[in-house]
Amino acid sequence: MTNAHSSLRDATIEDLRRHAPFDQMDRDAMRYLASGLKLAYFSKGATIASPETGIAGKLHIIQRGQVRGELADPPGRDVVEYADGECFPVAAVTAKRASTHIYVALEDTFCFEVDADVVAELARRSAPFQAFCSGRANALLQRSFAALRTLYSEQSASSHAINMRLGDILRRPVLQCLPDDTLQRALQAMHARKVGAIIIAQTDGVPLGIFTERDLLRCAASGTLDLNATIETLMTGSPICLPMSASAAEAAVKMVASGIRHIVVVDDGKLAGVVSERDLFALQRTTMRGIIGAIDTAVSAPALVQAAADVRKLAVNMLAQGVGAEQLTQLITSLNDKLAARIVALEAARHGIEDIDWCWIALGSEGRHEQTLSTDQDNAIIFASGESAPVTRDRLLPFASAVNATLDACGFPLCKGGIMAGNPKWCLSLVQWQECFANWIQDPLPKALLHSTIFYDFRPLSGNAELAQALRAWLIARVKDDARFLRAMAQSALDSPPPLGLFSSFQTSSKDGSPGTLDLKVQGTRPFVDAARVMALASGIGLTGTTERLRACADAKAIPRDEAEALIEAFHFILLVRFRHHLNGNPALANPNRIDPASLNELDRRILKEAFRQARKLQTRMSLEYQL
Amino acid sequence: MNPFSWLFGNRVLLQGKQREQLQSWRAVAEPDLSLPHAEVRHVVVDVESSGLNTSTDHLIAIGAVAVKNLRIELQDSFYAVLRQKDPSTHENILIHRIGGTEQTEGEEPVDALLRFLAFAGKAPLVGFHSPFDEIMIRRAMRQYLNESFRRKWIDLAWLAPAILPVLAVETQGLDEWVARFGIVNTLRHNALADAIATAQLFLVLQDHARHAGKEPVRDLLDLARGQQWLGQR
Repeated sequence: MTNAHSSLRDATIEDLRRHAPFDQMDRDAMRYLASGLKLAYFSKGATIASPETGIAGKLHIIQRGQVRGELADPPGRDVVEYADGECFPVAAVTAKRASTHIYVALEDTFCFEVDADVVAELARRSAPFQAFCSGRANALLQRSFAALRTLYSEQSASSHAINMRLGDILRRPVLQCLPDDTLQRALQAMHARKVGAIIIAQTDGVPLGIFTERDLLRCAASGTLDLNATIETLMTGSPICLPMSASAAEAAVKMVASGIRHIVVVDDGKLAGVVSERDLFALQRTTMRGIIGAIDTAVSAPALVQAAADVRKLAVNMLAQGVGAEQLTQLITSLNDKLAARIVALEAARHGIEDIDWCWIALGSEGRHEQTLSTDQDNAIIFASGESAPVTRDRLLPFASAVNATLDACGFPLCKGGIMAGNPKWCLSLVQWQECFANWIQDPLPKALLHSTIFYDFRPLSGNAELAQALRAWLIARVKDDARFLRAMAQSALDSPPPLGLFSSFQTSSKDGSPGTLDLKVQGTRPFVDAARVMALASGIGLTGTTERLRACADAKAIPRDEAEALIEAFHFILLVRFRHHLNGNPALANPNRIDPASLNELDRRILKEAFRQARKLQTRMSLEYQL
Repeated sequence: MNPFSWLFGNRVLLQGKQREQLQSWRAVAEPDLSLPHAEVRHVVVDVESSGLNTSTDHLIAIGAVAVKNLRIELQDSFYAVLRQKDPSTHENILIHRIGGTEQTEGEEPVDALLRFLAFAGKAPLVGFHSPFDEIMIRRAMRQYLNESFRRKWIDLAWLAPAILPVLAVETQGLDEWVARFGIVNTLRHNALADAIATAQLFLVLQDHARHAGKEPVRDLLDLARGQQWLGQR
């Protein structure tokens, strides 16, 4: 083989290597593949493969261009777009059968063609290619999780508290004064800020010394305490400094070795902050046990606010350690449940409502156990029906509003739509709730349907759970066979189609000033959530979580088991992307759920597309079932 | 060189086996130009030379790839660097990236050209600005094999505007045509890579020609020639 031949072949291989699964295949397998390639051209609009062309004899790999695949019968369903490096029809070529889909070039497209025999031989020679052929979505998903774990395993070492950089620990602005300030002034400042140390620095920021409570004790003991002395004469000079990049562990060692409690942190020789022994202890707090303990013993808002912040920090660490989306959402939800329950209990005690029979219910994503890190609060109260409902409600409302305010302080912003227990509309007796739900079911207007999607995911959080259970039982019985209402719910569930667009790989919107982005909540997770809700209601399933609902639907034979598992996997992947996006998202985007698909790596983009494809499948199933 | 060589023609001394190879190429039947071009094997050619002057510069390399059944057969391809007595100028090397050593260590021209004949057979040849490729190859054939090598060439520089006149208004040269159809040439100025890019353009033109009812090979030749008479590209 001449140089030109081999360099051309290598260039072709390099080209393919930019895409899965070719990036995983070894050199020999790639050479074998390259040796069997033909290059074909398809003008815009040309049909590349279809059921009519008989047994699929060739695998197409797009060299450059765009191809749209859709189910041949009935047409218009299961639409997927393929771009450079993507293959079709994988299943048909592997199984040596006719394709069930029609593939049409969306623009002038060049495709490599591989004979089915070469594909079969390649699958024998290469395990990654075999995996790709046998279950493409599944294999891709596993790879993304594996990639995520590797990516974060490097970070997880540093996310261990003691390995954190001092620069990342510094929180408060450092308390400092000038050398010629008086002792009195320094002590006043320390007292006002409730800190045990003040740093003395020149105007250029170079630290000269430190004055701590211990220094005060030393001065007092020596009997030379003069409040008007300049701090310069009393401070401990040449304080021990560490750079921002030093670890918490280094600081701890320095403290022990020098018998001191404060380390001055400098950035390029200039004062950047101070780390105290207490700061280092606080690092150990963000363990699950620590947080639960802190919540259970909290008696005031500040402690709860701290616990809420720690929940977030823990979530970041867990994500960093590669914990899956399902476990992560469950963990966050259960810790948030505890937190909310504690807040409710504290406020209940404060408001003296022991004689009332009430139940605090979580709605929306919290009701579904699907809280991510940017979630508004959605909650309500059910109280036992009695003769004086308005009176009971008036007594409960101040309590509910107080809980709402504390939750807000803890980082669960007030619901913009006012869906909160402190809103008189959503603090109702059991009978009133039944009337309210009955109205929505009777008259499924858009607003009623929107409320249904939030309220029907209710779940008791605190108080008398039997009230919530009674409402749930009533709702199941009322809705299960109401074909008209279920059809309306199904219809509204189809309102948010997954963004697998017609003319680009992802259909991104330019609404709300974020062009080129897609909404992982509205377009990503919501199709799953909404469809699972309808299917659960139709099957008389009282569960609220999307995952649990889908599994229960499979148990009830409302949906094939493997389909349910594929849906759950896809749903979790989108959730995971949302999580990661919340953690390292672009703050410039007003909506934390908006993501620019171009910011994802190629693999994640492909999997996200597969996940959206699952969502489309689910919507298709529903539209067929309800003949929409 | 013998001062009387013009009287006797080039004294080309081929060895027995080489003579056989040349004879067997001569014996290959001419293609039937009335057959559909989609079914006939075409060979897309690109050459590299020591410069752009067709009377003084000489052939350095040939890259070629076969197109059949509307597919580029990537393995059915050809590449040869002809051994040079003196490597070409530095500036020229910078263009085609065939270094001096590679040039002086290239294949014996006689063998390379015989290999090319065996590869190409009598297939219609395709090029972009093909008269240049044609002259370079014919001079080499004459010099080393004493073979006139008169072949049918389809020049895409004429065929493209003949088939796509609207696009031709603002598209000129191989680079622009290739870019117009999103053809990616990873190794520009490598004769084989350029031949493949040219072949991709040929696939596009074949597709358009078929839609316009131009099926036989002859139609492509006529279209290109007619456009050349019009003098518009």
